[in-house]
Amino acid sequence: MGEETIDTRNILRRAQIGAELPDSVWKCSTCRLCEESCPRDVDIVNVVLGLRELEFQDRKAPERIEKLVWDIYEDGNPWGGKKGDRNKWAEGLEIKDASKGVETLLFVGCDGAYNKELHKSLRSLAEILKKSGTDFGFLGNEESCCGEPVRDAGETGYLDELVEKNISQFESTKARTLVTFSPHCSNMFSTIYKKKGLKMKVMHYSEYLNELVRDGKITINSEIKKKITIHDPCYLSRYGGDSKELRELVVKVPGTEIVEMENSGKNSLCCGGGGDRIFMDFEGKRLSDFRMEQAKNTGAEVVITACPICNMNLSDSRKVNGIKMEIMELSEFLKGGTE
Amino acid sequence: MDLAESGVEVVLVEKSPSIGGKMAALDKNFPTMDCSICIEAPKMSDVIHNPNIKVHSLSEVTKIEGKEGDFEVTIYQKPRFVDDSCTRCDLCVQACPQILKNEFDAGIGARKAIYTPFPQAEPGPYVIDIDSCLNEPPNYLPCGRCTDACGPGAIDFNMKPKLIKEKVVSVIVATGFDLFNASLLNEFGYSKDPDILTSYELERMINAAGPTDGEIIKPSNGQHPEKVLFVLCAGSRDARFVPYCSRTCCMYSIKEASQLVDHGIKNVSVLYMDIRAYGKGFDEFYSRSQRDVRYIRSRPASVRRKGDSIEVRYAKEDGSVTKEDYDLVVLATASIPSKGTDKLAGILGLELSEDGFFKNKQDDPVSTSREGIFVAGCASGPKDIPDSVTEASAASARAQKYVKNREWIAEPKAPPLDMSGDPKVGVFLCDCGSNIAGVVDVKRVAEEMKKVPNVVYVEENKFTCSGSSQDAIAAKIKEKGLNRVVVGACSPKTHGVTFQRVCSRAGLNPYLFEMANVRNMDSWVHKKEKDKATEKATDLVKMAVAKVKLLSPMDDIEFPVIKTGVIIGGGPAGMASAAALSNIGLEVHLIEEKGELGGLLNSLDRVAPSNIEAAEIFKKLKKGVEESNVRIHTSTKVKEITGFVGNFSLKLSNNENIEAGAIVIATGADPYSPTEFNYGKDEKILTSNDIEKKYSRLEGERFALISCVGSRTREKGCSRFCCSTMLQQAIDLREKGKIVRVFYKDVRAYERNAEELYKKAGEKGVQFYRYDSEKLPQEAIFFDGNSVTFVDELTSAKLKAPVDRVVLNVGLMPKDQEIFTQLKLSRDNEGFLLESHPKLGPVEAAVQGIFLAGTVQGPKDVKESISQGYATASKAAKLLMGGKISKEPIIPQINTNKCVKCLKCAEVCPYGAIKGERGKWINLVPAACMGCGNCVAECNIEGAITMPNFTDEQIMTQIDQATAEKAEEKLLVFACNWCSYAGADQAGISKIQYPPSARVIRTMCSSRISQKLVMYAFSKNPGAVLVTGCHINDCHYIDANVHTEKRMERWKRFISAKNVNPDRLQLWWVSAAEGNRFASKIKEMDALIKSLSKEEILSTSEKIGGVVKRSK
Repeated sequence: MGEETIDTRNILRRAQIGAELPDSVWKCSTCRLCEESCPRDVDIVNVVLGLRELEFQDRKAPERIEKLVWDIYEDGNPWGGKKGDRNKWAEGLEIKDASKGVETLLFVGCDGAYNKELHKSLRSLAEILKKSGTDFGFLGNEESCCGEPVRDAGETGYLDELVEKNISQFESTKARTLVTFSPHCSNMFSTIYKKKGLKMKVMHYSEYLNELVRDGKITINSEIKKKITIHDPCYLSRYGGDSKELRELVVKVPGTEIVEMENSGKNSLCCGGGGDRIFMDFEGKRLSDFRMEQAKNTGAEVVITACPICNMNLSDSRKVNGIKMEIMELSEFLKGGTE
Repeated sequence: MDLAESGVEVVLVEKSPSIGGKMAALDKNFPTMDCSICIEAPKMSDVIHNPNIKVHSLSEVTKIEGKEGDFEVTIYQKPRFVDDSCTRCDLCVQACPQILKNEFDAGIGARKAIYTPFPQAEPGPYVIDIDSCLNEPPNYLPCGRCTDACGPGAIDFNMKPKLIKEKVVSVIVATGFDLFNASLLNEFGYSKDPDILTSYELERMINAAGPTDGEIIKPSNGQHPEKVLFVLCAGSRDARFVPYCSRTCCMYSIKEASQLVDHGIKNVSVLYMDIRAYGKGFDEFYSRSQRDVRYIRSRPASVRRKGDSIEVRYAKEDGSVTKEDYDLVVLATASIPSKGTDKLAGILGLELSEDGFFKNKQDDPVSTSREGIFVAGCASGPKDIPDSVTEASAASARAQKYVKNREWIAEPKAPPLDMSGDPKVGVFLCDCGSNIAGVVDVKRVAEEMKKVPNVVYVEENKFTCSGSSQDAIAAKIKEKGLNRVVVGACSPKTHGVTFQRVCSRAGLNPYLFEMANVRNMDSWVHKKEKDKATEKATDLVKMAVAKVKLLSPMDDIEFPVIKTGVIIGGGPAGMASAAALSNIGLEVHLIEEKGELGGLLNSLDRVAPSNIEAAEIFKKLKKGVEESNVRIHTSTKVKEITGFVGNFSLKLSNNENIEAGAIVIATGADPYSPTEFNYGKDEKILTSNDIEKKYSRLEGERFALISCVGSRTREKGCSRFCCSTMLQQAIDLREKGKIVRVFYKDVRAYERNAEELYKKAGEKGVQFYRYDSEKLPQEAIFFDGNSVTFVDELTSAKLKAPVDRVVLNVGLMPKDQEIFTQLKLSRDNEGFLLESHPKLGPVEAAVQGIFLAGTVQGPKDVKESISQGYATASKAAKLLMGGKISKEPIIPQINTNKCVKCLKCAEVCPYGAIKGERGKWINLVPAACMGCGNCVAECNIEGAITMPNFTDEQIMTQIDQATAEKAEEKLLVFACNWCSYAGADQAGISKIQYPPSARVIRTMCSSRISQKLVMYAFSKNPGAVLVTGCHINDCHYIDANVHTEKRMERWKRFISAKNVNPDRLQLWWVSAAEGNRFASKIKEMDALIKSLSKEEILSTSEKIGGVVKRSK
């Protein structure tokens, strides 16, 4: 199987001389691993996103990208799901309607809401939050995409509109904290949204749960005797944080043993789903195939991650490559530890 | 040494147990491939034995009070726990149970808690690492094994730390550098895998005295690697760690790569960002290595273990990704400020720069932020050895401004021994670790020597050059009443003086000493033929013993020197030199051809990379000159220089005459005037010099800057300073709103702040395009009047960019001056003046009393020129301050009773040192004689003229010994001290193997070899005779070797007439660098000998008329 490569220097040189950009501009998963080892401190991903803006304006974006922007415009999600199906995962959980005012707003995100395999993870999160006594709620079917796929498509005009609309909706809940299921959404909120005036505190749920545990609102005491490896999502490890909360939470579950993959923490390998890559297939081997190989090499039984995109990609590669490991979202794993 | 020899008392404070620094740990130096410790150890020995220098090892400065001219420094000295009675017998080490990492071996070797960092360490006593010693207080379980093992009772656990106070007038900080911790570079895998090394670790591994005895192995399994990868810029030029360029790593990596090739590793690759071969001879060294080493422009994306090898993943220039397996990966780690730099800065009250090194002034590189305190070497930023040595001398010159009293403390000399009576020879045989003993059976040689008449004492040493062995020789001279000493070790060229001094210290006349070169000319070059090498070693030592018996005691000749210095050339280097020398207290003349001082500095706008205005630097330098007592002669040329060291005479164009003891040549270089790109005919083509001072008036919006025009060609190397200039100009143009495209081969921004300039240029939007480094710029870039066409290496596309002006970045070309010829100054390959040693003698010419400053010695920038200027002041002061110099008494003696005053000798003397009138009188002027011996070879009258230390008898007795056994298999080689002997040494250093039949006899010059000696040699029936010397025009005695060439024709005709195959006598020129040329000639001659029949060879003596008589 071949491997996809992106020649960043070639992209930058072509941009510099105004030559036609290579397809690889659309292949970048915005994982920032390249920046991690760049001796020149070049803001590679931001350059790529900037170039995508130019490409989008020139109608050179791939068809699938144009479609997902339309999908978000029409139904509030890039997956082509119906607006009315957004809250299906929460059936029977009786989660508060945030528009009536809550302390903490749970932002579900499109990936979790529209992919059935992840519903269990979402439900686990909601149940832990409930058990902890947190005053939280969600926007249900009124929730719209955070706009990350739009940013990654380079459609800045529509992105601005979307962000402003979302901010006013969030502010109306009077929530003080915004907790997201996906680290991609929390990254959007703490960067672009903050610049546009979002006031509330933004947290990924791994950080939030860590706080709850620290404050004694959640007790983890059930033993899970498993050998575990951790897949750090790029948007937790390299974007701002160092995914330390993720690890801290996992070790709190009695009986767990963590074995690290060859690449971990800031050097984690990407699942290949960021930068809208989740909507476009790979030529040859996928990044998640490489990652699952690494996971397999650890001899662990379970891969824990904390990102819906990673979860989907790794699960796919697990199936395709017939690897007998469990892929588990952090929320689901922790739920096991709290029962 | 500069200070001490100028009569200044010096206190040397060293934190570690030994002086020597990192140089002592290096195997070889680039680009000369000198053995590092071999050239450094004699200097270390000089320092330790100089009575003007007090060395405090294991010491740190803790406090400084007072001000310039009157400092009081407090020094904290850690106890060594071993006193001076230590004999370095090593028994304590064998007894010590603690095994620890050896810092000197970069942790890949072990040491004990009691140890010596390396065999040549100075001061000599061993040291106890008390933190790891079992006797560390409170000492519940006393160990004491070392104390029990120590014969002389040198170990004293009661030694206490000492506080030492010293009054000094000035302080020089030379605290060096440390290496970056490579394990921080996650993607390069260091410390995760034993087969990923740092360059420093590899350096120790290559070293024959290192932990692997010079074997290159994979630490993971001990096997020899077949594929090795070097990774440059490990931590350097990296915004995450060390933003600056570490400056030496390109070259030492090229050196190590070449060494691995020499070790038989065929597959050696280097991943690099830019090859910064900026120094003199560096490019040549780089291109030579390209024959065997693969260079790839890239950085590894990942370095990881895969089975038995290390898998390295990297992208090539075209963007394709490759994976390759290597056995070893070597990281060229960055240089960082040495540990404790910040603390010391606090104590001394000095400012640090952003990157953590001591802050110096860009236009005054050895000054710190505090008056009276100077900085030299890597303490102010990474640099290579010659640049560090230059700065050390520069600091010495500047510090002497504060010196009030000078004193030359005499070296304690034992009362002269009685040297009359029969020779009593002591023979000291060095193992040189395994360098000699690994090949030569030294014990057998020792046994053989004991049988030689007059040899009364024989001793084998692990390292004869180590301090304790030196002391032991001195002791044995007294104890055994030795009146002659022979050392069988390395080359007399590196260590002769060291052992001569040992003799002096013991009261033995230093000229009763002889060295046999058993390492460079035997064990290193006959590794596979151990028996033959042992036989040869025996011969070599016997030859030395035979000669030493015939030596007579001699005294050095002392001459007065004129305490005046002349600086020729009033550019930055000359101005700096003049002011500093004058401040030291000497009379100084500064001579400038032009109407005003300043040289090329006057044509510059601002000086890169510091961005200081050239006019500012000029003002400062001029003020320096004016405030001192320098006599300035502008609009004046030097018409003629005659004389010799200490006693030069200069005729000036204004008919003035100056008598001077030392001359500094600072006549600069000329900017290259291009013929490329139609320069001079097309007004759109400018040079980097043309646009200086004209940025605001430049027409055009789009600029193409082309690097290396006239530099890095097939004949010329890198011009060193121009990349910084180009970057500065690119930024200046960009800031004026121009579109700037730079076309380059490698961006050699090696200096501090230059790399930052490169980054800034990129950030400002300067576009960089790399062109084919194999091509000249005019072969890769084409200008049609409106645009440039070129192939972009990154996209492989042929691109065309509109351009209004093309700026050719030009370097410097050597000037030709008559005084160079008058002074017999040697030139390098490019025509710049040649320094005496590329590493340790960067500002001295080979001709004594002549010093080189600035671009006359090679292209360099303003700052470096100023450094060299100061450094020459220090060297000149060292020569002049004492008012006298001494000279080896190797000067012919004329026996007026036998001499017929035919004056044939005077005719061939290159220096006109022999005066006289035919048939009437003859006189030799010792001060003018340089000692080649050409006159002696020319004389036909037996006994009329003799050359001390190289008499006919002394040479003939060596021939006797060399041909005593199996003469017919032997090749007698006469070698001159300066070129061919050094070339033979070089063959050894490079470990070029050749047949063991050669026996080398050293003379000062090939012109010393006379017909008598050649015929005497043939009368002994050797296989062949080879006379070697410097190439014509390279002769150290002007043209003495031309006479050798003429004589050779005559000798060949002579033996031919006697029916001796004339091919058995040959002449061969070998330069000091041409080890290969020496070795291949020996191979050729050996093959010739083997092709001859034994009968033919053994009949030679008879054919030429029997044994030539030896006079007595």
